[in-house]
Amino acid sequence: MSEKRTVTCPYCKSEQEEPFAAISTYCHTCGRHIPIQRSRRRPVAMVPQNTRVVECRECGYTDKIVADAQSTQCENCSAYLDLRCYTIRGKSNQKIVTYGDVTFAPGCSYEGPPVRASKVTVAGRVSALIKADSSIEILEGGRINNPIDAPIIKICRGSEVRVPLLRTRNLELASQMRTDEVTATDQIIILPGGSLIAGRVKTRFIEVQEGGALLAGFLEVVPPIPPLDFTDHGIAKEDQDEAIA
Amino acid sequence: MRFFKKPATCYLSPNVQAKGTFTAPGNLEIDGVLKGERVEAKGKVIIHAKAQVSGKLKCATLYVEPGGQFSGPATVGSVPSETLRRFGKALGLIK
Repeated sequence: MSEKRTVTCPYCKSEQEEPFAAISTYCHTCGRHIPIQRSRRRPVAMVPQNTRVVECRECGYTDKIVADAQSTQCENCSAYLDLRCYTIRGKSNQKIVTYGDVTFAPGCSYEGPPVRASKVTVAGRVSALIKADSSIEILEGGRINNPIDAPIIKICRGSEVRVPLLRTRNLELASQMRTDEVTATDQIIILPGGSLIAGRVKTRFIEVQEGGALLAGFLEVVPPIPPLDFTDHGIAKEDQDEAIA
Repeated sequence: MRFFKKPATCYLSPNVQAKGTFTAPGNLEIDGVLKGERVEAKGKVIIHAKAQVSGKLKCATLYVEPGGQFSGPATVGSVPSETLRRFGKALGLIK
């Protein structure tokens, strides 16, 4: 919609609205011709106050969009981007691929295709692969038994995590977790009450606080681990290459 | 008046290169190279940056600084067995 301005008739003094670009018009009251003097000031463009940055998962193009938007399309590859936030209650198996946040409410049971979101909070039972762009938080009552993958994983007290594979940057553990393999490119912190039982642990920095426990078949603390190149289903590209070879 | 003695801290300086089994009665701080068959400490094990440790590790708490290296099996703290955990859960001692 074009911007409008108020024009006053010099003959009958009545006011009417005209487009900004108009140079003359006819008065709606007296019908006389009115020349319009153009103002030098240009109308100020509307700039949305709250914006968020979204990176397209298909092509990696980054765009700024309005924070309240429910969906958008990538300007580069035209992919549809769902920006809605979901809260799962009761039993569900719906497909969840969004750029918003996903919350699995206490008591819920989700068994379906891989979940992909920005931030995932789990307080119910989830039997699906979970991949988050920012973080995964498993709260009290949360139960997970499939691979999870996010830069930050926080496992709170009272949750149950038994996953075959866990790849992350930062892992904070305050509950019991059993896994075959853990790779944390930055750090692992085991808080009091937390225990990690794993076949293989690889990280750059580890801290097991008093009251925490670690039982690792093989613990490897090494200087900076190269960043993992994740593909879908939580399997790193290097593993895929090995499998192909 | 002090009733309990503060646990002694064993310290391996950067110029030390040790090999074999290593047992510390209290805390253990490593700055050098320790290629142990078994590394045990009753208290805390701190592996400082630039330190290199390998072998079977057993201690109460562990802290490996960024830059420090460790490789080998590790048992830190008291890991409850599955049976003990179930028993504890039944009694309401473990959540």
